[in-house]
Amino acid sequence: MFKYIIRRILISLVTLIAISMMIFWLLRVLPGDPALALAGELADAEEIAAIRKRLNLDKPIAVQYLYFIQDVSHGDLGDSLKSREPVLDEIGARFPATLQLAIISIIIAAGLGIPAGVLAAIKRYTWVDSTISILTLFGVALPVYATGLLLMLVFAVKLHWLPSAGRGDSWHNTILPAITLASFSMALITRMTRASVMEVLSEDYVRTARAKGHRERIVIFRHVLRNALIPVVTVVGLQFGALLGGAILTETIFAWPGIGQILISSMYSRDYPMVQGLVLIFAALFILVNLIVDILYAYIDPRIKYD
Amino acid sequence: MTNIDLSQVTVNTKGETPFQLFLSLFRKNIPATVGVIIFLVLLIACLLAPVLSPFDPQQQDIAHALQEPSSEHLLGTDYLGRDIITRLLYGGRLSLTIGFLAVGLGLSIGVVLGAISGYFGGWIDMLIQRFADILLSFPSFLLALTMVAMLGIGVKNVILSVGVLAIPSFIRLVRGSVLSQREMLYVEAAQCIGAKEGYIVFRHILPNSMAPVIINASLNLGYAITTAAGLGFLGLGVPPSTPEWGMMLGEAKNYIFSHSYMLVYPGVAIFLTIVALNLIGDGLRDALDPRLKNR
Repeated sequence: MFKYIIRRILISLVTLIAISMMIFWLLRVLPGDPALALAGELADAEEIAAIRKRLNLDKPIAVQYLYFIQDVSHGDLGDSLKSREPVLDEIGARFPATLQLAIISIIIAAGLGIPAGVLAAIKRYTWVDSTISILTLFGVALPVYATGLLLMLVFAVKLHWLPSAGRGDSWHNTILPAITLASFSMALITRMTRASVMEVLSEDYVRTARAKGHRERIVIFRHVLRNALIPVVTVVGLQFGALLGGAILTETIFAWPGIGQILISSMYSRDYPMVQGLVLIFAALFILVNLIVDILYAYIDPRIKYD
Repeated sequence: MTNIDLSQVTVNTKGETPFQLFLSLFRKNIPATVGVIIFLVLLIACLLAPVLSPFDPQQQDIAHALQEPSSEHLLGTDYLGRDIITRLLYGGRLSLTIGFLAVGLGLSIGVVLGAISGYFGGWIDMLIQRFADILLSFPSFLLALTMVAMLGIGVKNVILSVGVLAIPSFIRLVRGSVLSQREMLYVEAAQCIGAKEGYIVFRHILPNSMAPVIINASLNLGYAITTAAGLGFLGLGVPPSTPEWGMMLGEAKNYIFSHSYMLVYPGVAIFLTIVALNLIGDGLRDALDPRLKNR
């Protein structure tokens, strides 16, 4: 177990290093000279040479990478070309908004998805099950941007019930983006829960529990759910990571001031240090979440053995 | 799954070929059949776009911009006076082409790497698995987005970026499948008669591992189409003025307050395509891999 965790952490580290190389390479293959971009159009040759030296752009590429890693390990991701502020400060200022959105979304997705999945499994092949599967089909088939625009059209533009953009001061602003971001994960969690509960329902120990004369409620809560929800925990965890990807589109649609929105606007304005820093942060967060999920899983399900 | 419904058990008494068996199983699945019908209607409509519509999808006509639906323009015109239904049909061609080519790319690379990884093992397996890990350690939309930002706007670049996303799932799938097939008796038999390793992998093992690959491809197709449309929606996918569903949705967003009906068309088009592909994918899974039924 301990060995498994160490191995899992090492693999994550290797992956992160490979990603940092890829992102570093990204900046070097982009058209245009970063020094020229940094100095602006009015700079003379001397200024550009000075910036080149300051950024170590005159050194071999492998040395440049080591400098880059050194800076990153000190929390220095460079300065934004647009605002001239350190990239990490900008990300730090916007990160809480993304985290808020992601946490509320996963609560909605798991809070509605798990009960819906359990219900569909218990009432399998009835109209309840069919209704839930049609709803999940909508959740899976509508991409996040279509869901977002549809909700915005109905609840903000037509009905005027909720605001269509921004984070605002009230919780009203959170509702549409959070439901948008949650919809796909909710559908997926519902499907997984249904499949998992149905599988456990056919296990011998469930039959034994029924044969002993337990009430159905006891059978479901004490025997079925405890086992059926183990794989669901993993799905919920992995979906939390996947929400980070969905947040990029959701934040852009609802002008939600998080790191997803600034990633897109930095891509439009070709603010490369910002893009580089954001992609690195996104990947690191995603790896971290998946690592935690894997380790948690090993604790929750003692039947699984790791070498 | 202990309560086996005997009416659902198919016993092969008529000497059907595996393909006929598959067809009869697939046809009994009503949702899957509905999916096939929706998909075929969409496909034929898109293929016949030049026949069905007298307009050029890129022809601008500012004087007739933002017209409401009429007998001349069935779904109205967009902000540059282009006929919306024409753009929808041509957009479907592009979205489906991008989807098929991207998944085809991911499938070819993934299957070959997965087969090598599973059959040979050792350091090459390790290397390929780390490659898959890296691809899986990005939120997938972010990976496509970063690649397009790197490569620049264009249809080819969108296909490449979206195709890369599909690679790791095929690697994992084929590797697992090859690992279990490798121990089968028929592989040993092929080795005994002196067949070369490449021949064994591509002629014997891979054909026997195809069922999960086909299922994965059909499910990935929908995902590839939505991802490509997501890039288009952000204006980072295909070049401006190209008819593409995601981009049409992105452009319609600017008119959500005055001409909100424009949003509905590309939204419905994407939705129907993905629903159809999901139904087909689920049907394929049930028909090709009955063990997974009811999951």
